[in-house]
Amino acid sequence: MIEFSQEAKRRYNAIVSHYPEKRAALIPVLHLAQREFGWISQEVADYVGELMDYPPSDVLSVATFYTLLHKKPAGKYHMEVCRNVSCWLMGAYRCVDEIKSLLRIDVGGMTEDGRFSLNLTECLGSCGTAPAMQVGDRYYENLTPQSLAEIIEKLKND
Amino acid sequence: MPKLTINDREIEARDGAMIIQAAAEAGIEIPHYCYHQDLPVDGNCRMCLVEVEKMPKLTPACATSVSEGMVVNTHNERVKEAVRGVLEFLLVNHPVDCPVCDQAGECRLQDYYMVYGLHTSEIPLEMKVRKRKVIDLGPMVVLDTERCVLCSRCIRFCDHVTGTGELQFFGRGDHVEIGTFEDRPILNPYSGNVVDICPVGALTSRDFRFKCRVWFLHSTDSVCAGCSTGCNARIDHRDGAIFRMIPRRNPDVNKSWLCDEGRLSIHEIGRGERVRRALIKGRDGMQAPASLGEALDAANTGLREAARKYGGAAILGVGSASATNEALFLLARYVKGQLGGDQLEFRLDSEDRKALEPEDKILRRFDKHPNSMGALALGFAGDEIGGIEGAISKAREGKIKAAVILYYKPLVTRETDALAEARIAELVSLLEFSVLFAAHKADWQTDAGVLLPVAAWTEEEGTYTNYQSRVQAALQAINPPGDAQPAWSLLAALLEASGDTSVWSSSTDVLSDMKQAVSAFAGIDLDSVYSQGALISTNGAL
Ligand code: SF4
Ligand code: SF4
Ligand code: FES
Ligand code: FES
Repeated sequence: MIEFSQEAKRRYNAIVSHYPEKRAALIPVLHLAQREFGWISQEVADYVGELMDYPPSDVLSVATFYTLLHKKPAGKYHMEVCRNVSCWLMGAYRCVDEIKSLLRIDVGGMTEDGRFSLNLTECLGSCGTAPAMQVGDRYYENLTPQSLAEIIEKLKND
Repeated sequence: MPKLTINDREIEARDGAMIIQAAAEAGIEIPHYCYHQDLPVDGNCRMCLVEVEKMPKLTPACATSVSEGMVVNTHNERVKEAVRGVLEFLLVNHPVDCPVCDQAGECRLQDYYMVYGLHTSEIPLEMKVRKRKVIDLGPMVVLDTERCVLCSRCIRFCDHVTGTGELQFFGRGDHVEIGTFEDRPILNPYSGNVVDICPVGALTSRDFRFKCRVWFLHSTDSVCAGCSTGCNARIDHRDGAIFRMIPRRNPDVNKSWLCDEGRLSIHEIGRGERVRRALIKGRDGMQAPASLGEALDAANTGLREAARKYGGAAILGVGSASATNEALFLLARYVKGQLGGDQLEFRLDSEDRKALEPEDKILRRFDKHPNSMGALALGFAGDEIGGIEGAISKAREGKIKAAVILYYKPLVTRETDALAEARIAELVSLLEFSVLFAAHKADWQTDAGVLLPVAAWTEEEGTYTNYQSRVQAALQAINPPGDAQPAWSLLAALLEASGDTSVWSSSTDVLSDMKQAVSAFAGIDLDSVYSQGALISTNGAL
């Protein structure tokens, strides 16, 4: 049985206190759970459901609707490259190829050491600086294969 | 009461009704998947789009309430085109496995395709999104996610009716799948209803699937005999075999639902050996087969003799909370009119008290008999007897010497049933003479002086009085086995053989007489009995 750490429990209580009823806090709590456990496994959904008085099916239903919530383990650096029109026209596909060959993973895959995973995402709202990529809470813009190599190098040594 | 026009017809609608309801009440059908009269409106499927004058866009009839002067069109070209488009989208990823789908014949996708679709699919099979099939979701339900039209009826049932929330959609876009968390079984006691309300072949009945194509079935209106709620139901059968029971809507009783135990109770009748022929106990103490006529004569002779020897007060009529009102009425008439008896009892297991007690917040009641209230209204709870236990002690003391007994095995069982049966067995063993009506065989029946083969519930015809004191009719679905007959008909024959001059040719005849003879039943309207049920007055009986 999994459980939030003391720190996460404190955050959970703070989040829930912002809402008139605790069930309304489901999405922020799922984000918290993702930070805590890395991804929303069925076990996590079950735990969150119990915590928030939701049947686990409802929790998983919400989690599977949002791509920002991972339904399988993600790397420490989860790279999400935008695949919508602006980014693609500006060469996002070349960036994706670069990541694939540098890290030797496919879209949807994860490196063996669990540090990097790669996914494509819909418009990041950063079309003016396309191609764009999101890694965790950070945006990387105006990507080129060269800049990507540098970014990955930096993250590796992080 | 707003007046509106639908397809050039003026109709009057209830305040606050949705267009789809107003139309249905006027006999105009609007196609729909997600709308269900006993579930909250969701408005997700868009099959019910209609044109309303002065509204720029088509509007869903299930989520638009009527208003005064509204002009609605449900079938012009614009509407048809829109509905066709909706249907085409719904079918984009449909696996088209209809020939092997158990829903065929009652599938809304098939039915509406024939009316609104008839388009050629643009999507080759190999481009369709494939999803999971044949998923076991517990004792009642099998899931095929590919066939789901995502109407959410089943989800709303589990959320709003049972409150158990097992079903949900997972994923998004064209990958959305209906399912349960980790494919856990749906274990709530009403799970079979999701199969009924699923408009397509996504949820099918574990119990019924692949047993019979539905168009071969014949349907008979009935009332579930599984407890004192008396849910209205339809029994589907073919060639004398019962295949399934599904709910018949009655907003005042069961809405559109049945509990799982009740739904499966149809199989109980087939379990165990049936009494097919009458038996008469000879001088040697052994029972031997006899014709019905002989058995009825033997019954009359034996009971009259006991009445002559010990007086009418020594004769007991034991009704059953599983017997019809008609059977009970005739039994009382026989015991009182022909034997001079006045002792009537029916309680094997405090049915009178349990009849009103709900087992949960939805439908089920603790009393697993359909007609305790009828037995009460017909005077079967003899205060001076005090239930079967009282009858047993009276028999021990020699105050009761003979009895006419209706006994049925309950269809929905609980631990206390064995005890109830043991009590009846004990009573029979103590009596000098007994006439026993039974549908199923049991060892203790060898003590009965005369054993009469009686029809079981689906073979019976008559009415039951539910916990609300509502008299509801159950029609005969199939024929009883061997010489068995409905209880009212055996009792009518017994009365005739003993000289009663009334003639009853159907249970409805008996009911009409009952209306005259029993004040509680005086006010009931026969037509209502056969539709929504009719309330009897219960003053005095309770
Ligand atoms: S399984 Fe049936 S009832 Fe449930 S959402 Fe799908 S089509 Fe509707
Ligand atoms: S609640 Fe009672 S009457 Fe209704 S289906 Fe269940 S057993 Fe039958
Ligand atoms: S298309 Fe990539 S950020 Fe908008
Ligand atoms: S029936 Fe109206 S939207 Fe589904």
